[in-house]
Amino acid sequence: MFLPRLSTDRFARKNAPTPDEAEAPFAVWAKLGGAERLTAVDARAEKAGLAPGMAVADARAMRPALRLAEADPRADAELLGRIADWCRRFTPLAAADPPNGLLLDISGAAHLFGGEAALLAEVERRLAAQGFAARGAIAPGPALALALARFSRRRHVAEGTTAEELEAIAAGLPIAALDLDPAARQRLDRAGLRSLGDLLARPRAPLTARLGAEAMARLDAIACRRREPISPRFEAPDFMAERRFPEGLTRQEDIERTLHSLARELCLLLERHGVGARELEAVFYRVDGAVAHIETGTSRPLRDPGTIALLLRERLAVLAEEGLDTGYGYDVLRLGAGRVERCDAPQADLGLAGRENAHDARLDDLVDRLGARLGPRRVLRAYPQASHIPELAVALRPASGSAPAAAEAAPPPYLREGVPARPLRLFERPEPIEAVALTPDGPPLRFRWRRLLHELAAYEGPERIAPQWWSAPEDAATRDYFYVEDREGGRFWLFREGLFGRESPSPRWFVHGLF
Amino acid sequence: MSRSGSSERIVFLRRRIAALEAGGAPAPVPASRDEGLSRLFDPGRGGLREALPARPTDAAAAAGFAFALALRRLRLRPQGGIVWIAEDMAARELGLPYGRGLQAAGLPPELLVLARTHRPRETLWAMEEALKSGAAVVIAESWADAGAYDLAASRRLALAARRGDCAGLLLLPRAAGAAQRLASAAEARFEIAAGAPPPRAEGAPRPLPGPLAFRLRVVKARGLVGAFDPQVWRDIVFDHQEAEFHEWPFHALPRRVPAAPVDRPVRAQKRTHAR
Repeated sequence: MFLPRLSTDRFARKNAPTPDEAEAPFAVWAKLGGAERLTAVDARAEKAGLAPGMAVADARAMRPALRLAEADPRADAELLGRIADWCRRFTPLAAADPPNGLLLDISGAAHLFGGEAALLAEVERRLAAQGFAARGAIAPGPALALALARFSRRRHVAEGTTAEELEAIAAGLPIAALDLDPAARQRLDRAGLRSLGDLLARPRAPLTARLGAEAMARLDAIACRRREPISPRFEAPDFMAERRFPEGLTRQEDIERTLHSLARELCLLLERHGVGARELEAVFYRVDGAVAHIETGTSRPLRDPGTIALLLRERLAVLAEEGLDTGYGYDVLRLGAGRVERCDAPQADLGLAGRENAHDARLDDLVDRLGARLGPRRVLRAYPQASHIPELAVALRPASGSAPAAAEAAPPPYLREGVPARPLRLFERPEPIEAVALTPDGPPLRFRWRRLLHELAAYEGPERIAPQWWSAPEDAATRDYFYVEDREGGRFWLFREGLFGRESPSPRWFVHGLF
Repeated sequence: MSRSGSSERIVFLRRRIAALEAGGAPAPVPASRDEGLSRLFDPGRGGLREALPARPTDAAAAAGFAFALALRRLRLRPQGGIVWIAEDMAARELGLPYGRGLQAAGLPPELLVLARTHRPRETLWAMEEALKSGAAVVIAESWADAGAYDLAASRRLALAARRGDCAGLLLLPRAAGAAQRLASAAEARFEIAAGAPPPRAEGAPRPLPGPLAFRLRVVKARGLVGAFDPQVWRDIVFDHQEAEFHEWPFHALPRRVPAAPVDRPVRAQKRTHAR
């Protein structure tokens, strides 16, 4: 698909012009190499003789009524991406071809819409209804299709066309289809080469030397001598279930119910292949073109429709909290398994091992469900690490991910029989306190934390923890940890940063944890 | 209906409800005191329990108690592990559960799942989900006030705990000191204060801290009517090797005195000797 007026259409869609404005030509400009030039013009401006590349001042002089807006390439690219998303309602493989093209792989999908020509008409009609001028072409190769859409009247090249016929079609295209830089194009123009046919008929080696290998690769792609892959915006899922409705769904219960039945279909597919889903993706296509994505990962291969539906419901609930805008309703719902893993049918074993597995499976499901709602980065597991720095001794990683390689971690230290030397709770960042100590290396007599004065009643320490000299920054200081109990019975894990006189003239005190 | 008739009817309905909630079991009988404490910490019973600190400074002790209770349940009835739900506000005030410390206290790190939440609503939702799944013992610490954690919310949690046959411990640090006033559907409610520090003899150096100790008041215990005086504080100690609570008068604990550090700078050591 070729969207020749993407930039101007974007503005026209955003703010509908008033009737007298609508009569005026419209163009988008940008600063190119220090000069203000038009980058895109709408149909009316084109008819009035304006063209991209023209200086803004000239254009104004020609058409005083010209309306202008500054170009925003990023917004254009975003819009193109969204249109590509929307196009996935026709086929799972859709890619954006910046700045203004779209590639749809319709092999195997066209018959659903009544043939290739009908599909093309449908896509064009729907894009036009949304305010985009679009011209499409169907061809066996993506590059040829794009070139036809841009530069040719020919709309349809059937699948079974022979190589000679394809070359003949390509030969009719202008040199511009190669997308060369202006200097090279001018050189070819001077040499009298106007169409691709002129190039195709010539020996390759001198052409390659002049134009570069890239241009020749493009030429080959257009002539379908070489197959070019489409790099889709989203990988098409391996397993997929889909439902289309004549009218959009607006009620959340309906959407949930549809998801549930889609999950059932998907699970049948998965079961037939003996796999389970590790990543799920649900896509909702709204009647007016908006596309909503829901993605969720699972911590074990899943093949149970109920669990899948429940997971998706959590994600949907999060969306709903932020305001799921059903608008005119969703008319296409699709559920896919993005990544799958082998998953054998569970054995109907009721032994003890089975029960333990059941516990683990339930915990995994719970982790997924919590992760779906809270975000996978908020559901964590603790992995001991080989480090004696307290905050590095445990790494918190997302629980749904695979476990990292087990580090050789020492057993936790004890002060003496039955008294752990590590607190139950650790602050993410040690909190500074004001402490009064009797001796420079002794425990504090009293300390003030969060404006509350704590008098020391019992203590044990110090436990000296030096920085890791092989990785710590220069100014890292030794810490002396004290296990401290105040008069009220509160238990704290304090440390003094820096050795008095040796590392720091006035060591600071922190509270790092609570028992 | 006469006035006395309606009150009789209410008594009758209350009994019916109590019988229904006990799952058809005979009406609860008052238990003796000693039996009460062991039954209170009986891991076989699922349900929702609440731990409230007596003062704001006791929040960490209340969390420690909740963890000890969860550990006891886990030790005697193995399950998937402990799901610890920590709200951001609670993490800011009290820190996050620390894997090494929990490991030292008897919880293998692979059994811990930590879920972090933003708001009390999320915390309560996560706790309900976790309880319903019955996959693990659930500890949740929420900065909820009475508005967010009301009778309906606690009822949901209690039902979820019963459905999943699961033990849930809800920690409400913000409701410090409000244990007597709170109305909820929880199975039991504890008011926790930090255990008293070891006494120090006149002129003696400061003693070593003792094992993890709590002062505890049982404010509510469903099914153990009359076994506890909600005004009485008890001192308990948690033995994490056996995963048991002991009621222990504090003076019976052994006392030790910290040793002087051996690697002090020479100057400081000299000063000690001079004294």
